Amino acid sequence: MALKNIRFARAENLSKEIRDEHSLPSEGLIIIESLNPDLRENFIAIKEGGIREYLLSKGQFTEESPQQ
Amino acid sequence: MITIIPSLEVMKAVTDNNISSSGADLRRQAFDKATDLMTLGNVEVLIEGLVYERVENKLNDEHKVVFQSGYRIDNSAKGLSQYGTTQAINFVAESESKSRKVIILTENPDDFKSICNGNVITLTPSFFIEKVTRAINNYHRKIISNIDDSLNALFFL
Repeated sequence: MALKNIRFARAENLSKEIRDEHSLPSEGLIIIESLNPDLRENFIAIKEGGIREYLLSKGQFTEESPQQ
Repeated sequence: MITIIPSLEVMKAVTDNNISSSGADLRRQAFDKATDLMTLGNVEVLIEGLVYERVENKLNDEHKVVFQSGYRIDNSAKGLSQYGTTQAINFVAESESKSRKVIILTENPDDFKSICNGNVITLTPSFFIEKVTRAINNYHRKIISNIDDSLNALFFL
């Protein structure tokens, strides 16, 4: 299924039903993914690895720059 | 209303396979803090179009969806052949500062000093992290009633 859109949200602003359904923490940054063709949402809690870790969950970056 | 503009070195740290240095780690953490702020207050993260173009070749299709839908990519300066990323950020930041406060996240503040005024500031990643942590603490301890006021007080007063 293809990722079509993301939204940033806060766990504390989501309903308890959604947090329970998706096993989300009570606080913190959440990414809401919109997927299609069968139109559904994934809720992903961003952990210590941050946005980079989330990006890497979608695949490795394809090119390397010199060591920083 | 605050717009945070990460410079090229920050975006490279987020999207590069070689990220072993402590400096790169701080840049990544600063980008995470900026993203976090988008959900806490009236804060946007603006990725300048030429900067995005420089990192885009490292991204697969799903990575691109994340940046293109999660952040604001500003192509105002794209297509101006004489513009590098620094000049492009200068142009976009100055334009943005007419409607919002602007923070440029950079390891090289001197590159942007000509446009710094009451509405535009530059911060290094480590200083940004320290300030944002303090702003969020002030907000959580109810020293300041909302996160936007807390950020404004720390960055622009």
